[in-house]
Amino acid sequence: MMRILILFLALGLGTPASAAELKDLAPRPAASLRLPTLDGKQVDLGQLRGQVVLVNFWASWCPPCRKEMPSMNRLSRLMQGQPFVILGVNAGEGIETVQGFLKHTPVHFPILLDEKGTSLKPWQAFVFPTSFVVDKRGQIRMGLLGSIEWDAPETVARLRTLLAEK
Amino acid sequence: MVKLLCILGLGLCLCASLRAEDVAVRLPSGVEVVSERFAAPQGPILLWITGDHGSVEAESRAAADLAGKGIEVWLTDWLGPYFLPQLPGSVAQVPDQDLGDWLAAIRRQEPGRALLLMASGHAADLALRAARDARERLHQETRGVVLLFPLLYRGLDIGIEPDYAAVVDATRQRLALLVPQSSAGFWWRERLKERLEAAGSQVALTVLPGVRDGFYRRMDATDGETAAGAHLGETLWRLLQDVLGDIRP
Repeated sequence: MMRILILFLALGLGTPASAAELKDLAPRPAASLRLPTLDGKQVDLGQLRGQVVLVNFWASWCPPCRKEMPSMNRLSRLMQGQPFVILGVNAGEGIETVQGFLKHTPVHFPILLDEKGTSLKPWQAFVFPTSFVVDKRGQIRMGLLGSIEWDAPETVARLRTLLAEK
Repeated sequence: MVKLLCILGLGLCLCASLRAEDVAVRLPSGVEVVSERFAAPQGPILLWITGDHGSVEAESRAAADLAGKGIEVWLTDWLGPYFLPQLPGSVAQVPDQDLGDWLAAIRRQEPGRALLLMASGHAADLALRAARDARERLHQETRGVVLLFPLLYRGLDIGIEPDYAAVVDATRQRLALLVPQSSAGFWWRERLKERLEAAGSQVALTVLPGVRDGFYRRMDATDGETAAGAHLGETLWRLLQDVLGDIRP
């Protein structure tokens, strides 16, 4: 019971306890996203047309965010060679904090730094973690409040459906 | 000898204010609401609505601290009387009228004393509804409401901008909001503030750095959160002093 309460505190959810669900969404253009990575390069979502992109908003203080990262690493490995990218957008933390966290929890996908949280409003991220799956044409197709096991077979199958689209 | 007796007596008085007693209020609906009362005779009364997370030691310590400073505190579980589970959806099942009647009963019992409300997380809805019902139905004003990391969304769904609970647009109070910096709510604090102000409330916002929502009652509390929890009484005292004006007896 206490774990459920901590989850809701972390997420700020106002809904009764239920498993997080990757939902299909009516297609709509993804908001722009152009942020620096840890090594100072700029990543622009608009330059990733032709790929399926998982955009994940997280913070190191967020327990469900930390919990799903290993499954995101596994998903990244599963999708190697496919036109698929995971972008982990850290909101509100400085580079040292993020680097310190990643030393203990390494990830195998790009981490983007949004220290001022400027992407949260256009992307409507009201809780952490919030994730969106963007198709090859730059349309948001799926979304998730909370964390899941991203390499679960049914989730991978749904992502592969988007990969198969032209 | 007289001096010694006076000193002992003063000590006993101080000790009495730091111990809680249970006080029950029976409402017209038949529900009995029991509070842990940390007494501070003649001072304002802070009605601290809890219950959505069980009993928390840091709250009791903070209540005792505040009572020692002259603010009487009633720690009140509002889910227990209805046998509601400690889940976010439970707060909606507490009737407005019971909340307003509770304030009215306390006012009758403690005439002339300023009443303040405080709640955290989802229980923030209860505090605002209590104040609204008292004002609209009973024409009784609450001195102010303190909300700690309030969770006032009316449902949350991916891809949809969430609306707030109806009470947000019906609240006209002096409000103090405490928002942890390590919190999703931190990024949307101005949105909530503006919405409350648009309804007619005066809102003072305080950001607490280095801690998360529920910092003083987390099982996974960091060292910083444990330290902040130990100073909760002090934090609440400053919030009350800075924001709600002169609340001394």
